[in-house]
Amino acid sequence: MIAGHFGFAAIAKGREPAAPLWMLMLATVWLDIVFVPLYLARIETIHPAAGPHIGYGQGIIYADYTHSLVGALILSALLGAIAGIFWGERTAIVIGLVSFSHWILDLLVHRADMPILPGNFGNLPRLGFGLWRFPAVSASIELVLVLAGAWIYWRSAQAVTLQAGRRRRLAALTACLIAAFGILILWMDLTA
Amino acid sequence: MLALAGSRRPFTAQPASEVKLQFFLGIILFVAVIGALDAPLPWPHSQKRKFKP
Repeated sequence: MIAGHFGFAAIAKGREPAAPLWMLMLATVWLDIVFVPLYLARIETIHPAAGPHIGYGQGIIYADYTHSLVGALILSALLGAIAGIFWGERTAIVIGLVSFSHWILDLLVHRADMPILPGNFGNLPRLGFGLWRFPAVSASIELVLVLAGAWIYWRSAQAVTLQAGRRRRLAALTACLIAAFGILILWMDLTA
Repeated sequence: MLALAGSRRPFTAQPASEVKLQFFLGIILFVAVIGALDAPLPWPHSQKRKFKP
């Protein structure tokens, strides 16, 4: 899931206008950003669920540190604390929650590969509802998140630009691009 | 996103630089463009910064 996370960030912006959009978008993929160096170091890995090709939702992802329940909570709290330095306590909480929303959304689609404790300590059951087994369903959820995000963002942006009496067209353009980029990313993800 | 990072070929066969490039280009492009367009809008955080003494 990529597009769905960004859609959720746009929804959060609509509900919490005080949080910068770019920071919300960074927060929504924060766990994946931390994942990259661990993936390159082969500490966290991706294996095909079946066959040699890993297409949309066809990977078993052993992101045992960044995508463990406790790891995600720690990383989200860390990012929230950093955001709090610049934007205050309320935005810190919002950024932390948006960051953790990544784990919740991944929980819906992952194939029971997300551990509870970092490094799958204690060999506790791995979590994941496995919606990726039904690509049409998981892709539809992502599409709904993207479109809902663009719509809610536009409503909120329209309100502040109307009040200020300027930049209404820019608000509409940004909302359109959120939808367009989101759909493009989803399409790229689906055809990968 | 993790799945896309490992797409096309098994992770063992995919060059690290390719994975890195796919990931960061996508993120940077999307966040930078949307963030740059959103920043000039009169949101509460930008107003606060504007009127800060």
